[in-house]
Amino acid sequence: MGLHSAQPAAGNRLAVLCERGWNRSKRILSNPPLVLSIALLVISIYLVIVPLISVLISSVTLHSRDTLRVFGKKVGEFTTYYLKRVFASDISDVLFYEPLMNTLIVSFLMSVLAICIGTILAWFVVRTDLPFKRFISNMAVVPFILPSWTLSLAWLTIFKNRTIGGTTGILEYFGVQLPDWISYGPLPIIITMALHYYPFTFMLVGSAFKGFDTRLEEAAFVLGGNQRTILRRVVLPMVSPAIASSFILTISRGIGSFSTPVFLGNPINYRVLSTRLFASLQAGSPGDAYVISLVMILLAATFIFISNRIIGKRKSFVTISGQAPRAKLISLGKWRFVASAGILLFLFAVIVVPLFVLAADTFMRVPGVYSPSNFTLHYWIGKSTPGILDGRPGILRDPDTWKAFLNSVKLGLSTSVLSAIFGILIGYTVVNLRGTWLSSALDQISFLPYLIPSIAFGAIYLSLFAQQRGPIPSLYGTFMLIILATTAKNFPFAAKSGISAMIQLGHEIEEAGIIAGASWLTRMRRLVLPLQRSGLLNALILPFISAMRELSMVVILITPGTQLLTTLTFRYSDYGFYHMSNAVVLLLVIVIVVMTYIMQRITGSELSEGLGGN
Amino acid sequence: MPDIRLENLTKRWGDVVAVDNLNLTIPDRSFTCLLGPSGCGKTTTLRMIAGLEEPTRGKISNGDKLVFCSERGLSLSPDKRDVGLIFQNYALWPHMTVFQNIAFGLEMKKMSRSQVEERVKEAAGWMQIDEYLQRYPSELSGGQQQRVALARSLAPRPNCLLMDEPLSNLDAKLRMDMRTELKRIHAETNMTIVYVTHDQLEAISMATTVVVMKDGKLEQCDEPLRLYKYPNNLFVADFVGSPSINLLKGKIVELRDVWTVQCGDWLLSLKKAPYGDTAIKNGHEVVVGVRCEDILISNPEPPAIGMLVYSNLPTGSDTFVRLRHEDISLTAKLSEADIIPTGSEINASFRPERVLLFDSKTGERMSEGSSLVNFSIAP
Ligand SMILES: Nc1ncnc2c1ncn2[C@@H]1O[C@H](COP(=O)(O)OP(=O)(O)OP(=O)(O)O)[C@@H](O)[C@H]1O
Ligand SMILES: [Mg+2]
Repeated sequence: MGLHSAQPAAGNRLAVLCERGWNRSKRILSNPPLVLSIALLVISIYLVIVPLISVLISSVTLHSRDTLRVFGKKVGEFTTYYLKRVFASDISDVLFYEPLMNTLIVSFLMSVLAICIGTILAWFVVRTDLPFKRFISNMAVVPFILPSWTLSLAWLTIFKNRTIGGTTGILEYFGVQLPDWISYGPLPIIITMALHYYPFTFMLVGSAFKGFDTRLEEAAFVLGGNQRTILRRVVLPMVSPAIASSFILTISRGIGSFSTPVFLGNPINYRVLSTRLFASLQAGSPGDAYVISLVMILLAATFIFISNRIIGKRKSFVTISGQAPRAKLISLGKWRFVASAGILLFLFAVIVVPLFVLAADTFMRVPGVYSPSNFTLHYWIGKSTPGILDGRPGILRDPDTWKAFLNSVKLGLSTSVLSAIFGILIGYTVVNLRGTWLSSALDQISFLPYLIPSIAFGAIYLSLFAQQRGPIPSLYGTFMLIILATTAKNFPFAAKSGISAMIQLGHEIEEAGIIAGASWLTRMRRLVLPLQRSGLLNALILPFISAMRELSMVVILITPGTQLLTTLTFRYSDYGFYHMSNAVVLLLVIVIVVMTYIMQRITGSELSEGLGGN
Repeated sequence: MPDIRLENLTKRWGDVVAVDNLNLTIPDRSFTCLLGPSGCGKTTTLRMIAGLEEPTRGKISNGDKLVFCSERGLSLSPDKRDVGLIFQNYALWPHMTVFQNIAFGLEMKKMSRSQVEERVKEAAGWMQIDEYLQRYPSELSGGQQQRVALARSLAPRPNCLLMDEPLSNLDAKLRMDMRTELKRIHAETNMTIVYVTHDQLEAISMATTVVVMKDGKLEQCDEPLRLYKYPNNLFVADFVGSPSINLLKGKIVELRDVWTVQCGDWLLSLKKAPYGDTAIKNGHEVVVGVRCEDILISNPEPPAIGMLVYSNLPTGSDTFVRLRHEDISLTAKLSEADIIPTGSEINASFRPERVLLFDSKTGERMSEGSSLVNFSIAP
């Protein structure tokens, strides 16, 4: 039957066409995932694509303060003035080429150092019979959890010399004369950043060490290589893809890094791209800042593109080796305790010492004097005293601290809730509509913020929301803007975890509900969401932590009314109130460590992914 | 009355054609098996019937009710199609107890609490899972989970139950039990069952109608025994039956009222002319097919021909005997656990009206079963 209705008369055909169109659109409009995905697409275009375009436009249109320098053009007209200024003018060296060179040098050397530390630690923890492995592998990832500038502040507390005035560091107090290159600039930046980023390598290379087939290593051993030759000829080539990809991830992070160079480079005017960008914005030259943002985005995107290629290869590499039998660990013999002690000492030096130094500093009237008379609680709970720190009270007594604390928590909570909702919805729609262009568009747009260094992201949001555009009012100075920016920056993580959670859930769980006749809302409420609970917690707490310690991005968007704990630290150190900024950092560290602990207890996961074994 | 009818049904994903212009009628109250090798589009067909996958083109109707029609842009949502679906991995909701799992669909039908409870009890009784109602799926064995999935689909009493390889995750013994159970359910209810499997034995033993598919196309749709006896083409002949059918390549050497086919140095003369024989000439390439139980070796009536016993494979109830003659080798089935010594010479013949002839180019069957009238060695 049916077949003979295939050739209707002309009038009929039109009616059939109309009916088909009508039925189809009715179905599309009553298909919640489709409607939802369109809404999400609009939101993510607005929060990610529009800002990107806006920064492009902002870098080639005239800003109001430059109308006097560019003749015959009005505000908003096309101009190559900023491009010329940044790339080809008298001040290009200061504005761009020097910071670019510094950025590349610092992030390159920093990455090399981080890779060395991470790889060596990973090798000891995964491949040898090192004692206290589990403890070591848990501690080794701690520097990554702490705000990246904890180490910078600790460095200054120890090594600061008298060049920039104010209180000096502990060493100078004891009469050691420190040259500038130890106190500030590339060397300390490289060291402190490497110590912050090495856990990346530790985790990536660690799992590669864990995953590869140790039978190859044994084969080499049987063929008569000594341990060192085996390491060089067999083991290193096997993990080199992991090393390469962690190198590129680290270096692209380094390019966007702001807080360490600002604390350790600014005092002697050692600029990298991120701090240069910030300085341009502060000096009221947004045009230059946007051009620099573009360069940073390009740099980071290039590195991430390369890294994706390498990681793509690494995957196939891992599948080849398959499930290796649990290998014999390399015996360190009598050296095992020496190695363990050395590593523990290292971890002590990069975790405990900095935190202790920061903490001690906040209890001392004068740095480095270990006598009871020098002990003070003033910086924590002291009343306002004229003459000390401009008459500021101790941080726990200062309403500014509490305001910033509340703001930080507010930011953390709203960001994490918004990210989690976004992540789940993105995961749901991307998996549900898989194979359609909508699905891949959502997937890719939500990944874009990953390519954009934080500080550039902040600058972009500033450019987009600084003035009223169409129906959207100027958001500059509002807390809303900070929440939006932090949430959008979190999109890649949120989307990635949402998608993998949904893939794991599988489509049958929901389809069984469809067959049973449950409406979309019922399905979401009773079948999908309840099963995402643990993933949801994960998706809540990680963004919470990263929002709590976010500085590079928000520093541009913050106004006195919207101070956060992180920007407060930044401001205090700007004023030279190091005791205060150290105290605030400690407060922050306590919050973050407590939250991380809670997260790990709830989700039963560990950041170090059990590299140390059981 | 409500047969499920698929017309010109096609499903494409980019270049992949999962289902290709399928025309099929699933009779009301039948137990229909969709059978075919992996990737042939069985799951896709089932999901299109359920309404979980939208066909690219075509029409699906359930009796008088038009369920899907690409031409008119019409598509009923799954809950209006009155079907139940059992997933290969059961897809039980892990955060709900067995009771809640079964009750969910009933609640969605806005039944009262007491009615829900009654129906859950009934379905659970059917599947003998009364004692597990308060457990969570993770606390059940695979077989028990399978029963819960069945009870969940049965409770709303759908008019048609769709199952996607429901037994493939069970061990052999449980599978036998569940097959019996499924047949019982089919007999006791008025449901149409559409059952996807790639196990031909399962299909033959359970179905009232078997649908064989390959590369998204329909190969044959018939009663199981007819399908077994008279496969439409070489693919179906080879796919159905275990061990698979004996196939001998040959060509036609003589065309009279008796056809003579030469395979190796054998000359087989077959009675009963193939149908549609117009284009067939001398020298036409054919394939002769004989099922192993249709090879007679214990004191056969003539015509018979001598072969060597190459090996014996006893299974306990019967024995498969491998026979050889030059390059020709055949597998025969002895219905007793007799073993004929390897190397002994025997006479073999084919059961009357059971010799199939296929066109070697198109693969199509050329005859109903023929009988052998003469068996000789080519000079
Ligand atoms: N979502 C999809 N996107 C693209 N191709 C698909 C999709 N689902 C199925 N296919 C393809 O369609 C074809 C038919 O798939 P289907 O799942 O229906 O096979 P099947 O007969 O059920 O096989 P099996 O016995 O292995 O379950 C396969 O080639 C498969 O790769
Ligand atoms: Mg399938």
